[in-house]
Amino acid sequence: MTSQFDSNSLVDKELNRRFAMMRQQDARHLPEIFDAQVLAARSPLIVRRKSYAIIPMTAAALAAVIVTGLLVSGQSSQDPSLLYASIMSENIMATDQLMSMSPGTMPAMITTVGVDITDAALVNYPQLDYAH
Amino acid sequence: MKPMMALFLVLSFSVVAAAQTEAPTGDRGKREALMMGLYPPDIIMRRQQALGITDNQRADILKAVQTFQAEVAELQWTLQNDQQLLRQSFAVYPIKIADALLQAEQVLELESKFKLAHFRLLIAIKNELTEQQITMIDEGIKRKREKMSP
Repeated sequence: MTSQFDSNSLVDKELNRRFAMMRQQDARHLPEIFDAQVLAARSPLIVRRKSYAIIPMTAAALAAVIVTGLLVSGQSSQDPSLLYASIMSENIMATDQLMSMSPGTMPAMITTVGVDITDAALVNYPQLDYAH
Repeated sequence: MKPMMALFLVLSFSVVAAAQTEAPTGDRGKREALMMGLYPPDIIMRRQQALGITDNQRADILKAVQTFQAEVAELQWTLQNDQQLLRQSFAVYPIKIADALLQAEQVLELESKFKLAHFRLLIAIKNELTEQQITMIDEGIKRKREKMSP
């Protein structure tokens, strides 16, 4: 009686072992069945790390440094003529034009010392254009 | 998002700054300076090879222009505002003589300060040049006049 019971127990154990082995084999070949709870327990495929947030900030900082560097280096080797041009174009004297006189109105005045030469005068008298 | 906005602002600023440096100078001012025997920096820099402008001279001219820039930077805002006020004072009828003249006086005073700073620049630039370079510029202007005269 005892030996029969033992033999049954051995058979059960052997069966359990075989079934376990078969389940393992099946598990290897079966496609993964997604389980929300299991997936939630797992770590995400794309890990949201703090270090990733630094990438756009680093890119922006790098760009700012490059632009600032270009501006600073541009200033040190700046063309005086361009700087001068920008200053003069930004500051317009409102009262300068008040003293201008058209050569058409008083042609004789164009050669008079102290009388301003308007741009219109240069069309008829290009010899007065010393700027070029 | 914030870094992208910062990047956009930085790039926008650099584009505006670059555009501003390309503003042209009026020929009128150059003619007036040349007629007075002074040489605007753009005319010198355009002929720097022919004139033999040294690196030191170039650096000193740049420094003089930067000093001029610093001098007029403060004036600029006030001047533009006062010029606007002057135009407004002439826009009414009848014009309030005392107010308009007071405003005109303020504009003239600021413009005078600007012109004085400009003279200081042009004098510094001429003093930076050698006598030989000045002779070369004067001869170039003379040749230009002779070439253009009928």
